[in-house]
Amino acid sequence: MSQNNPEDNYLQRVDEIDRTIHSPTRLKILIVLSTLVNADFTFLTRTTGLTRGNLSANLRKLEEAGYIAIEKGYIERVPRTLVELTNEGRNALQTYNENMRAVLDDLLNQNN
Amino acid sequence: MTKNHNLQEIEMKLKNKAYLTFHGDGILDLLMGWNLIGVGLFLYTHSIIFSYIGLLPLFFLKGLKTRITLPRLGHAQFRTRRTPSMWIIGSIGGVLLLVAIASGFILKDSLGFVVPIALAIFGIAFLMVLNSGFNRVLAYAILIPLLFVVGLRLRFLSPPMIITVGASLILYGIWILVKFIQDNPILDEGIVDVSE
Repeated sequence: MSQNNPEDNYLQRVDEIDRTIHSPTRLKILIVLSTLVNADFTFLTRTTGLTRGNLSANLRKLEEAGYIAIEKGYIERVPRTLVELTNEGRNALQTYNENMRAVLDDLLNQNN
Repeated sequence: MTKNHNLQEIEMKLKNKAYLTFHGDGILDLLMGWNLIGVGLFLYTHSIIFSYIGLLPLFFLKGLKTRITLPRLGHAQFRTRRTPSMWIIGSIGGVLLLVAIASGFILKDSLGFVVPIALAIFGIAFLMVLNSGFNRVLAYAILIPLLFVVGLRLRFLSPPMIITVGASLILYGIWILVKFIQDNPILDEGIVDVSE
């Protein structure tokens, strides 16, 4: 298989798609966080419509990947779990966006 | 450019939704009703103490929001903070209030004091609606000048009627607050351990 074969490039781009972000649940969380400086656990639960368990599990995966930072803090003297997107997470989301666009563009070009 | 535009749209939608939910807890209606009762009692008795009582809930606003609203909706800090239009609203509101207070001292009589205050409230409320789309504020923006400026000046509205409207607003506020509390129970804050 030649490196210059357009079909190979297309398949290679599919391989480059970040599986951590590709899950709809985690993508939803990252999109919300990308518009915010930070948010607490309650806000994320309300905004994404996810259950506590589901949100927790996916936040853990994103934290392990280094895409988000979780820390305990206080808002108006009330303890809150604050979540924010890291620079690594922001870059990963941008790369994911570019890769997905490229894959879909290739797919559409092949169909035309 | 398209990507940024989309993210800005998402942020605006999130922000508007958060704003509307944050103020959809009935507390504003309760405070407005309490304030109207204070104004009504002030006009009825001409005792200045009632106008202060009417303003009293303003000091509890932050505490009520912190204890009732925040734990139910959560906290989020948006990337874009105060928008320029909010600064314009704040400035115009401040000027209107100063004019209102100054003209109140010049006109001296209680009605002369109420009219410019009512106009100032209308101005601020109307600008808030233009900026936020929080339509209930528009209803209050119409209601207050109607009560004070038109009603009192043309003498078809009496202080007891203002008190009745205030009491109705308080009941409406309580109904909204109960509904808000039912619809938004307090969630346990924090990550749960889901590992087996």
